[in-house]
Amino acid sequence: MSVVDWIVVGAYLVWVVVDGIRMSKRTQEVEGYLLASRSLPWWAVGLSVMATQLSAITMVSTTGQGYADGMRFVQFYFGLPIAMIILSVTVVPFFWRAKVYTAYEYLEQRFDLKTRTLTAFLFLLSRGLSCSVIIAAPSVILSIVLGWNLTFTVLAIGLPTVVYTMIGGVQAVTWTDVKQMVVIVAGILAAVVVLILGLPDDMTFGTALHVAGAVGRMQALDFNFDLTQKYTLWSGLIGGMFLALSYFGCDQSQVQRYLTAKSVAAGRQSLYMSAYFKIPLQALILLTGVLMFVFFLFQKGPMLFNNAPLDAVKNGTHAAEYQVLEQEYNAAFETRKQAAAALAKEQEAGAVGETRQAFVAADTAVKDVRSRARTLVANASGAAYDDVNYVFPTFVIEYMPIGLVGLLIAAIFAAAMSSIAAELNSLATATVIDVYKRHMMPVADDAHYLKVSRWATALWGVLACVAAVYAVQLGSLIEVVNTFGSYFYGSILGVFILAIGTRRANGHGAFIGLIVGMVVVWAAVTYTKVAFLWLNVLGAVVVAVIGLAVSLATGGAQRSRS
Amino acid sequence: VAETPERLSRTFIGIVFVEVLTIVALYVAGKYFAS
Repeated sequence: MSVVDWIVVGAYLVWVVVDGIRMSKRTQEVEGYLLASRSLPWWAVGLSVMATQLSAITMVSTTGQGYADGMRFVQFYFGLPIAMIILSVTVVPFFWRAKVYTAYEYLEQRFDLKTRTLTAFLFLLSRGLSCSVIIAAPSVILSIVLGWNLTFTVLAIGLPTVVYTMIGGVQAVTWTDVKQMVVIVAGILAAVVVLILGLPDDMTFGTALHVAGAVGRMQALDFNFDLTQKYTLWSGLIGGMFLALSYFGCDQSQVQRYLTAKSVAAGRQSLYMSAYFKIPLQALILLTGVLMFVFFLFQKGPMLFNNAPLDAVKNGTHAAEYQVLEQEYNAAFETRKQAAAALAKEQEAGAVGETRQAFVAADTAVKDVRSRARTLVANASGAAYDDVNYVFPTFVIEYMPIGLVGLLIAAIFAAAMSSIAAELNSLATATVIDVYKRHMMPVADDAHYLKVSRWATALWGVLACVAAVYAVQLGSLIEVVNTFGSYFYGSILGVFILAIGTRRANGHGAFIGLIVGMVVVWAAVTYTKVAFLWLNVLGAVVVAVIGLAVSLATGGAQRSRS
Repeated sequence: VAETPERLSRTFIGIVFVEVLTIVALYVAGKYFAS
């Protein structure tokens, strides 16, 4: 990375920390520190909601998905706008008027202490782990691609975030989120412009999309109703809606965003922003990946993008085998490049003939060599190997102009930091409100809780950074943590459906329903091949049905309340 | 501006309309660029 790029990244880091602290007003009392005294405008909250959801993993992994698989992943977000409509008329007014700090606090008002404590515990466990992963995952990728020390990368992302979140509270989180969202979108747009300018001279943008479309990269919709398929129109619309309901309605890291809004209407409007812009934004990120695919048709990239284990393979017992694959790749790349150029030429002329089949066959050959190379590396290193998440950072470092490299690295930092800050802030809130104040120190003055809130933020931040350094050494742990949340995400949604959807449900029903729901989801993960988006539907439905049945069997709402 | 039920309904219809339009646009783009 050049000096100019270092200056851009450094300036970004200084800017967010200084500005985050400077923007933190009215944080001298707990409500100001944790909820901004419920005073923020809808557009700032809306951008904060979007920035929190868009992590660095989303940024590098979604562009990688676009490169490898095309636009298909966009279906994952199809249920989100519907979920936002439902949440805007259910949980937003319920939480806001209940004057709660956390979603789980509302569950004690509606049910009982045990339901509140269990859901808060599940949140702390899952978000605590995921916080370390959202620091670890981009750190691993950036450290490999940029050649940085891993611990340095973790600290470069984690420490500034901990500092401004601890000092400035939710005001700092929200106002830095607003600016980070601008940096992220500017970075993505810059990458799209560079990719378009990087196309061969005689190739238009439309022709590039036609070439990508010839190998299925532009096909966004899959109408198959197959429960084992990860991304289909139906899993996105139904499973994605349940996931969004759970994430935006029951997860404190998002609930806390709209609890800071200055009115119910402002809270609602903040969610409408995601409803309108989330799908187009994700489509743009995926399109960046598709354009990278076209770019690398003409610009020879490496056979494999993740260099970490390659030196050991190239110098080990599999060296000769790997070399043969590289020669095969070189030949296959050249054949595909010529086929792509021929297809583009015919496309421009408006008459596509057999060149399409030739290009599809050449692309299959390249895919086949890459697949065999990945298997070889996995066998040689004895660990799972994938390089999809490394394509975008490699493109940024190798092909973006000086200055824009810094902007893109800053954008990846911004995506990571905005999610980490919101998670630290919400972890501290649940720790202080649902655990410390409720179970350990019910009576103390405001200054005491404010001090504990700051220390809780710092403690979670340090824990997340330390865990991130260890998580990256354990490799597969990252995947475990990523799927961990899906065990109980839908089930927690089921508890809130019982709380808001029916007056007949009681605390016993909600608590037992939650446990049964988690067990059923665990059994589905263990014994079936149901795709993960459907687990949210399963968990929510089981909890709602079992919870209601147990509530009715134990005397309805009165029994629990008495 | 006051938040009336009619205004909320219009917002919801707007969100669903934009979503359907987006899905149709993605479908048409997929078909067009694959041809």
